[in-house]
Amino acid sequence: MPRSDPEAFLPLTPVAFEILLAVAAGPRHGYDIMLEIERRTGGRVSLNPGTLYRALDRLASEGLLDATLQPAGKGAGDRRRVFAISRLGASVAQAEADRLADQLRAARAVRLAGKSRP
Amino acid sequence: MNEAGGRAERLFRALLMLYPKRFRDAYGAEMADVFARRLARADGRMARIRLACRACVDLFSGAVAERFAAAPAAAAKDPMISLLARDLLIAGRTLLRQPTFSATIVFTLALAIGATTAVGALVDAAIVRPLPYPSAERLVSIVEESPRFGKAPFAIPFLRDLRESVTQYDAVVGFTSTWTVTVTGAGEARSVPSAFVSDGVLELFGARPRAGRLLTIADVDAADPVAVVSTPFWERAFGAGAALDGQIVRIDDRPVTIVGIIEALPMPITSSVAASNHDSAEIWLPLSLNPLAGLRTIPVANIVGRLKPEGRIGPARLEVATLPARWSEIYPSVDAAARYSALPLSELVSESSRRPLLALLGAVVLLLLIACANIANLMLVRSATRGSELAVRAALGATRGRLVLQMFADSLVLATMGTAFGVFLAWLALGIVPSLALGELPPSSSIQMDLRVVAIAAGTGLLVAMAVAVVPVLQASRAVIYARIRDGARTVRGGRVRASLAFAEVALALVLLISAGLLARSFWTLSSVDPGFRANNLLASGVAMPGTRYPTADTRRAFVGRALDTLEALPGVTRAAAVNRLPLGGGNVIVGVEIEGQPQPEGPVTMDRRVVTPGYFDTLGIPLVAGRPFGIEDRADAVDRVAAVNEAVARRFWPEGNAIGGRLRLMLRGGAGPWLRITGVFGNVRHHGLDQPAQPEVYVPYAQAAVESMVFLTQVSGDPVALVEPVRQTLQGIDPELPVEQELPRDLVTASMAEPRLRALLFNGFAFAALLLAALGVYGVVSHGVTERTREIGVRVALGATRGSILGLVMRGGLRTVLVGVGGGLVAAVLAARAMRGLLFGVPPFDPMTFAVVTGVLLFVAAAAILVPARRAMRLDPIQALRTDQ
Repeated sequence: MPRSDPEAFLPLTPVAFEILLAVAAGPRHGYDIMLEIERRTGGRVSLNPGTLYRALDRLASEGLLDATLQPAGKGAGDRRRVFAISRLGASVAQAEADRLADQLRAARAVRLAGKSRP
Repeated sequence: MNEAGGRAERLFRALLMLYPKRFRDAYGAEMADVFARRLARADGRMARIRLACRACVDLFSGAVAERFAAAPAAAAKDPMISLLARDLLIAGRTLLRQPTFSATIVFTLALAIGATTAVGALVDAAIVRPLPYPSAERLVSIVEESPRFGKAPFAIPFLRDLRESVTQYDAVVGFTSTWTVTVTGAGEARSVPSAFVSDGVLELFGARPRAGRLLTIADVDAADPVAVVSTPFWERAFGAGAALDGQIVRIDDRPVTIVGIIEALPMPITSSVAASNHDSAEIWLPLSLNPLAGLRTIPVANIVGRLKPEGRIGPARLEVATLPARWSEIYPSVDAAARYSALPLSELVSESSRRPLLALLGAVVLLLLIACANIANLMLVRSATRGSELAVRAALGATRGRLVLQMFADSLVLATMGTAFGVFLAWLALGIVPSLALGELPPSSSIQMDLRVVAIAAGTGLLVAMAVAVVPVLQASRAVIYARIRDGARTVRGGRVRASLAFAEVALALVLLISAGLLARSFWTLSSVDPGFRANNLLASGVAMPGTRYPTADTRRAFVGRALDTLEALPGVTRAAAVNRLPLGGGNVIVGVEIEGQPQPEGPVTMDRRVVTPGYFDTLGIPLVAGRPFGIEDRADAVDRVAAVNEAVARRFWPEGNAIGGRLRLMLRGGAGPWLRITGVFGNVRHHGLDQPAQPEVYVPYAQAAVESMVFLTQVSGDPVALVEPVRQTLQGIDPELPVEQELPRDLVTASMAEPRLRALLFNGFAFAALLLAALGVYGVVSHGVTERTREIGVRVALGATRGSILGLVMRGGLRTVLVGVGGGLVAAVLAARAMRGLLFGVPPFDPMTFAVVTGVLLFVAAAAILVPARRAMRLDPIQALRTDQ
């Protein structure tokens, strides 16, 4: 069922892209992903648990994330899932970044975006 | 804050149940954990509430989306599910295309379902759910049914007699309601609520010792008194970590060894007399330590028995019914004609809240019905406009069953959304309910958002979906027939059905409005009741003088005298006096009274006894009707012992107005007291509550009856709150070991009206919503009628009808519906008012004034609702009107 062509996944939803960015540097569990997204966006993007886990579930079932169960600390039952970016996920994220970069270039060309803004 | 957080988490977990099982199993626990952590991180109460709202809405819409996503997969297996899933999808999309229509319906539903759910949860907690005790269904309260006091307890020594006389129980226990004792020897002197209990009480109510043991039969006569205390008391007195090691505290100046620690234990209130005093006890002492333990004349012990597993309430009741006759031969204090009864504990404790709660439930169900009628009406209007669509689908081969399913899917989607929003509203409402005194809820009845509450809401929602669907479904099926029989059927007419829905709405709204009107009038009457005293500028400060340190009447008189002198000298204090029991403060002292020359064949009359200092009547503004107030001549050593009575006594026993000089004597602990000469008659004071008539009352001067606990009343020229600290310091300056309990009498007056006020408020809120909905319903029907009759009206105008006559035509048609509704509503309101009789005060159930005014208001609002479409009809341009194809 999982598709293998990264282009087939584009465009990603903003939430999906944020999640892939958050796990790009290393595996994280759900709460960490939420915190990382909040940190990176300076609190502008703050995901509710429902949205977060539905997106994680979809990304995992599409093969963009690998979910593994690991022993947890206190609170979340015995074990919890840790999500890592898969090879496919990494190439999809890269394809999405390229797509966005293309768009950004196009926007700059017509002066809809400043040059120096990150 | 923690509690609100806990509630939010429970709501979150409940909403998680909406997700498909696969998803829930995989992520449920983690999601709840993430939510809890975010909630903990949020800063401030408002932020937490915002966060919880956002997360729950997100969770709910996610659940719907997940369900839809899961549907196609399931559909492959089962064609029926696939059809329903598709219908639901279609319904969802159609409704999203009409956001205003959908939002109106969802909001109306949410309000009605939210109110129903909140009240349902209260009823569940107070009436349906078993009490939080082991074998609660077998617990029975044994009471004396007294004509004057309702359910009365027994004097303590009768516990032993009861245990010997009854056979249906495997345990019979006795306990007092909470008493205030003074605790010293563990930190600062403090008044602590405590209960005197027989052996077996703590076990019966399910207490388990956290440390040490419970009370045993051996403790009853033990030379060294012992006690069990609650965890909060223990931690306050000795610190959280302290180990139980035979610690001794002084309780009412007597050394008592603590032998056990238990968690707080809410005990039931089983008698009408004690109902005003129900702080949770923190100390449990053996019943034998109670100062009244040896007296057969003063009833303070609540008796509860646990039926044997095979025991029946019927025989248990018969058994106690025979006791008064037997006991009256042995004990002079027992009246052979008294009625003893055994009642299931669960019935008894919910007694006071049952009636108001059921009335409230009736009100919300009415509101829910009105909302349903309104929504059915809206759906009907929509299905009329969709008539052609349905006809086309029917023509293309859709069966009647398919169309019906489609209509049902519509209302199911709406009801689901309304329910979810309603649960949220109910959750908000239940958060504030415990702070409003709505009757007395049973001990520790936890009202919380749990699965039971969500189940109530879901059940209501489903019922609503079905009720609302019925009418359009009937219409839809008729649409099929129309489409088959007549070509070119343009619209589906549902005029008569819609009119009868509007009629029902008007009728139901009138019932609610009249009930609300009666309650509002009750409240007005109650708030204009004269309590008989002036409470506004008073501060009350109670002290209890322990017998060990104030052993004689002289020592107590000395303290009270000195305290009054010092208090009067305080700046800002205009008067000071003292009384043993505050008006409206509960805990009235009831004594038997014998009146000279008026033998009472049915036994001694009972009166409230109040012990007062001479300035009492002036300080409270109680008017002197005849005779003189108490003065310094009424000394302890005076030969002439005196008393005063209230008007209720004077009228009843001296109807010719010659009470002054009459003599009476009180039945006290040691038997009949000395004869007292009546020197004054004072105005009635409503000591038992503003809605209770004044009881017969006898006043005696403190100098001649120096009791242990007194409440000092200080009248001030400004706000009494400013004197709270100075008065406390003054009293503790005289005796630093005396705890002082302070309250404002004006709060007692307000509290006595809190429940009727809340009731009137809630009912009027519901009634207002009902009025609005009914007006909308009437407006909808008339407005739609005008649209449908556009062409007809055009013809009339073209043929020369005046604008006035068109206006009259529409108004008459609309008002006819309303008047029929009013007629039906009045009949139903009479029934409702009769059922509410017990909740009314000073207003007859069929109060013509309320009925007339409320009906007038409803007619006025309905007329206004009709006027809007009627004016539209009046202004119709005949040429335009004739061109429409409607």
